[in-house]
Amino acid sequence: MADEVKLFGMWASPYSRRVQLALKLKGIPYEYIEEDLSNKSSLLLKYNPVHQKIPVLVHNGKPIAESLVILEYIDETWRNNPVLLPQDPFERSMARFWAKFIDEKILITARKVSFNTGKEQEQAIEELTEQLKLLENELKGKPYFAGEAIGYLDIVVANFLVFWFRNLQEALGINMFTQEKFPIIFEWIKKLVKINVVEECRIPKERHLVYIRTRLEALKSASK
Amino acid sequence: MEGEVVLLDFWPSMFGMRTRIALAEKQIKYEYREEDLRNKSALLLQMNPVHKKIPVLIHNGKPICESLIQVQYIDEVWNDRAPLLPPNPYQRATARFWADFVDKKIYDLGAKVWRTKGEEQEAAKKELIECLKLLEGQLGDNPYFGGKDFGFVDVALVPFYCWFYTYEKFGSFSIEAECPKLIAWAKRCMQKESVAKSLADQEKIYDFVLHLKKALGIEDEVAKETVRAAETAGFFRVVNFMDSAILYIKVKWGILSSSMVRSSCKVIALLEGHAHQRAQEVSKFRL
Repeated sequence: MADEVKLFGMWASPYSRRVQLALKLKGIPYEYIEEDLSNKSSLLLKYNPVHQKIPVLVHNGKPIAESLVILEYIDETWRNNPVLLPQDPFERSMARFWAKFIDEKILITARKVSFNTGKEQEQAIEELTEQLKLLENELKGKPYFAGEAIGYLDIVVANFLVFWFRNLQEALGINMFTQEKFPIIFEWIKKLVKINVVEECRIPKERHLVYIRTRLEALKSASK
Repeated sequence: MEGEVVLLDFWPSMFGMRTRIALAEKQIKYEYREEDLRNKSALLLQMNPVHKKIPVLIHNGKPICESLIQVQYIDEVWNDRAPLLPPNPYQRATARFWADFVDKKIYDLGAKVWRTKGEEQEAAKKELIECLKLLEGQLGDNPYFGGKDFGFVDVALVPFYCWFYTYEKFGSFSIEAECPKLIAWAKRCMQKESVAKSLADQEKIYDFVLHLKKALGIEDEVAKETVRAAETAGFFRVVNFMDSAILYIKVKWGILSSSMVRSSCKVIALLEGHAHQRAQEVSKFRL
């Protein structure tokens, strides 16, 4: 029986692109369904009634939600290379820890950077710089976060930093994520972008800049 | 071969309880070290420099942080007994999803129930019950979330059972009345030695929270005055006492200019006095 894989996603979401990148790296054919988040489809609501969010992976009719849960599911179901999570339990814990750190801390700080100006924004930028330095530390002595080849944590970091944050900082007119400040990460990015599927999963920049600017404007006027 | 296993923990922490249960399920001998969160040990700060929080599991000198990550680690290392996650990838994904749901919802809602009053408390109570009902639905007719066997989601959720009494007393409501099946499940889990030995006594937790509330001075009139004065100063909308403590910290660290807050002398006096002490205690008791 052929596998039927569907991904409900949204073009500007780094969470959604994480799953796309994992599927493409593993060479898994899938059908992509773009969701309009202001008008969610009944299928999405049926497949993710609890959170009503994307991404949702549907494999042979069975839904899985939450991007990090989906990544582990993909790795456990399709055991071909690249194996995304490390084999060693301690290394796996570290990969999960840093992925959680990105989702729970770094993304929140990045939002503070977006929504504030002046001194508050400066403070948030400092906080974010510290957090990214902690992350960069994890790359020391390794070509990829996962070791010799691209893996789980590379996917998570790539989507956040390379696909999403670089556009965000440009839209905001700040330049905190630079080669001078983060030489090790930039070396890693050079390797990353040589992988074909990584480029395929990149959020289209010009469209993304417009999207970010529009959303920030809407949020600013809403808070007035 | 077990190696050396140490758990840095704090007795009322429902997160620490998860790891205790997993270690007990696997019958692993370990050293339990109680941390004083007002005076964190050098070992804790060294082993969890990023978050500086408990629980921290140290196995042969290497630290694993975050309770659900610890439980998975324990399950993967000691994979020859009492499995917590099922072998089927879809069932594993479902278990991880619901454990993540518990993490995202239950702690914060429960904390709001005992920390707040009035409308905010009512809203938290309502949402907490909704989430518990969702979980109850997921349980269905199975004895455990793991199906026939005690598993990952059971470990993730059951520690909150010893906190239910505290939520109920402060919130004046009964979780059992709303979610009888869930309470039946919790009592069933308590029949297991690993759970009974790992959960704290619910009355002790209630006493602990009573003392904590006094230390935080949530019902303190001075704190309320600080909040009102800071709002009058036009700085930002201070929603609750925690914000005034954070405000104090920000002023002290030169993050905000104190001229922004200086329109009322009363504010500074209050900040210099009570809020400082409260602020210290607030920041240390985040579990």
